[in-house]
Amino acid sequence: MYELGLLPGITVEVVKRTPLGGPIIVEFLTQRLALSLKEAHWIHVDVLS
Amino acid sequence: MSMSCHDSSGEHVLHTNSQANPWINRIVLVGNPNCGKSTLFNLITGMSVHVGNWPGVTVDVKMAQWKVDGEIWEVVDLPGSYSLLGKNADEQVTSNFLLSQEYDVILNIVDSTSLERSLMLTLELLDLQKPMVVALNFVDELEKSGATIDADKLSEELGVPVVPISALKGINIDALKEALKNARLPKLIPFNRSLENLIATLQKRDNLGRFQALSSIASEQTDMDEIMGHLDGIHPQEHIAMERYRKAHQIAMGVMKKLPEKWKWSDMLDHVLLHPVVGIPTFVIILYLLFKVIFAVGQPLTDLVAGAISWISVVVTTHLPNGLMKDFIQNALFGGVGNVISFVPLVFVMFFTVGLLENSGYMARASLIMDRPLSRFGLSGKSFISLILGFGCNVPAILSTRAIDDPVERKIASMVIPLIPCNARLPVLTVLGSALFGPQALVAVLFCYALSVVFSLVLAFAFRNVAFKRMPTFFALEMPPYRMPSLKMTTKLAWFRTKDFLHKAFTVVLLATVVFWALLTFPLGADVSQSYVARTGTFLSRTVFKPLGFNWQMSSALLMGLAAKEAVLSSLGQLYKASGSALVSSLASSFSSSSGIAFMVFFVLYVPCIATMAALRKEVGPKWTVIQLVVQLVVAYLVSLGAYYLSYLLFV
Repeated sequence: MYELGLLPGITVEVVKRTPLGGPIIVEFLTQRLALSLKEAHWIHVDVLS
Repeated sequence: MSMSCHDSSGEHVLHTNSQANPWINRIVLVGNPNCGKSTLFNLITGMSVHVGNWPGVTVDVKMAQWKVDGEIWEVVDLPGSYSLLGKNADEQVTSNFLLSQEYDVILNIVDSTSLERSLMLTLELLDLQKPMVVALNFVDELEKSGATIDADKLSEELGVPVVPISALKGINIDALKEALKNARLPKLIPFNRSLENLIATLQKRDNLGRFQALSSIASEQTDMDEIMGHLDGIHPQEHIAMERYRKAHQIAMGVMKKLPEKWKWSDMLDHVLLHPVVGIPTFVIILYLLFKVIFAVGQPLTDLVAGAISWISVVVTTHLPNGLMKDFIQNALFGGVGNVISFVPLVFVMFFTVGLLENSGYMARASLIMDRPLSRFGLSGKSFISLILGFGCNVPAILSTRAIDDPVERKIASMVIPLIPCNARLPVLTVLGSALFGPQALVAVLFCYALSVVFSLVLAFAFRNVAFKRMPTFFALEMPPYRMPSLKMTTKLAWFRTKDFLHKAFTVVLLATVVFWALLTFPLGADVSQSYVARTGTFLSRTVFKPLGFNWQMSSALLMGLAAKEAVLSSLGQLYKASGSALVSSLASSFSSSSGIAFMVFFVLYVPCIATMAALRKEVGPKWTVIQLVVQLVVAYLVSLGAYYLSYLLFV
C-alpha cells in the first residue's frame, strides 16, 4: 500500500463501487486503485464530507 | 550541463552535446506498472513484447538492441515496480537486476499523468546513484487534460535530464537519445535528519551503499530498537514511504502547472460498464461479441485460405509421380502443416480483438467484475487477466501470474491455466465441431470453452481447499484510464503474436508432422493399418480409450497433441488424407456422435503441450507440475467418459 502511495494522512475518495459487491475504486494522488472490501476495511479514514 | 528549451512544435526538447558517449552499452527501462515501458521498448528496438493497458504486463526481463547513430545499445525492459523494496515476484526481479547486474544508464519511465506517485519510485532510483534519465511519458494525454509539467525545473530538482515523450506516438524519441548520451549521476535528495543519521551510521558500521542501508532499515534487518530510536517510534517502512511522499509531493507541486483531469471520459464509461445492474450484462455481451466477431470475421477468411491451400496442393501434386515424395508433399506438408496455416486468419482476428480490449483498459474493469465470483473459487480478479490471456497462449498466461501478489493464488492460477483452451485448440475444436454439428459448430465450440472454464474453476476450488488451505488475502489493482486503442499498435501486436503461431507451424508442428508421417508411412509397403502409428493408436484405442469409443486415428492424433495442440489437426489431416471441408466430411463419417463428443471434451481438457508444461514447471516446480498433469488427465478422462455415456443416452 505504501509503495502505491496510499500513505497515512493522504486524502482518499471512494469514486466507484463495482457490481456483485466487488472491489471499490478509490482515488488519491490523481491515481485510482481498486481494493477489495476486505482490504479497504483496514484503512482507517476520517470523513471529510 | 544540459540545457532545455521548446522546439517549434512547442514541445520540450533537450539541447545537449550530440557527441555519443562511448561508454553506453546497456540501458535499463524502469518504471511503475502500466507507465508505457513496453511500448517504448517496442518502439526503440522494433521488437514486439506484450503491451496492455493494465498493470503487470511485463513479468520477465526482456532484452533487445537499439541502434543509435551507428552504435548498438542493449535495452533491458524490467517488470513494472512501485518500489525496489516491494515483495511481489516481478518487483523482486526488477530490484535484483538493478542491484546485481551491470548496466550504464537507468531510463526511468514516468507516467506524467500520475507524476506525484511516479516520483516515489524515481526518488528511490536516485538512491542507487547510477547515471539516469527520466522520460515523462504520455505528454500528449497530459496536454489534452489541460495540465503541464515544467521539465526543466524537474530536471533541476532531480539533477538528471528529463525528456517529455509519448512512446505511443513516438514523440521526442530523438531528444531522448541525446539525453541518454548525456546521462549523469543524479543529485542526492536527502531525507529528514534522523533518517539520514541512521543511514550514515549503517553505511559506516556495515560498509553499505546508500540504497543497501535504506533497504536494511526498511526490511528491519537492523536492530529494531536502534531503528525505532532514530525514527521516533514510527515503523521504518512507513517512515521512509512518508519521507519519499513528502519529497515527491513537494517536487510535483513545484513543477506541475495544473493537475490533470484524466478521469473525465473514464468516469462516463465506468458509469455504464461498472454499473451495479447494467455492468454484468454488458460484460457478458462484450465476451459474447468477442467470440462472435472472431468467428464471423475469422472463419470465412480461414475457409478462403484453406481453399487456396487445397488448390495449390492439387496443382503441385498433380504433376508429381506417385511415390514417397508425392505422399510427403500431399499429406505431410499440405495435409498437415497446410491445415494449421489455414487457421492463421482466425488466430489473427482473435489476437486483434483481445488486443483491442486489453489496450482500451476494459480488461482491468473485467477483472474487478470477476473478483467476487472468482473469490468463491479461491482466486481473485487479478487471476482473471491471466486466465483470459490463456485463451491466447497458456505459456505467457502462466508467466503473467507473477503479477499476482499472493504466492498461493499465483500457484493455483498457474495450475488451472492449462485447462483454458489456447488458440491452438480453437482450429481443432472448429473442425471437430463442424464435423459433428455442422452449422451449429459455434455452439459446440462455445460449450467446450465453457466446460474448460467451469473445470478450471472447479480445480481452483479443489486446489485451494485441499492442497492450499488458505483463503486469498489481497486484492489491489491500479486502475488505468480508458484509452483509445491504437489500431496500428494492436495490429502490430496481433501480427507478432500470429507470427508465433506461424513459427510454431513451421517448427514444432512441421517436426511433429514429419515424425507422424514417417511413423504412418513405415514400415514401407505395409498397409496404413500396419504402420507404427496405427499400432500405437490401436493399442491405446483397445485399452485406455476403449470406454471412450476413440478409434486408432483419434488416439494417435491425441499423442501428437503433446508436441503442440495444432498437431492434432495436422495428424488427423494425414490419417484421413484430407484437409479443409474434405477432412470435416471424413471425420463426420468416421465418428459416432458419442465418441466424437467425448473426443472434443477430452481434447479440450487433456494435458497441455510441452511448452506449457515447461512454463508450469518453471513457475510451480516439478512436484506440482506432475500433480497438475495427473489431475488434469484424470479430470479429462472422467468428464469425457461422462460425456460419452450422456450423449449415448441422448442421441442413440
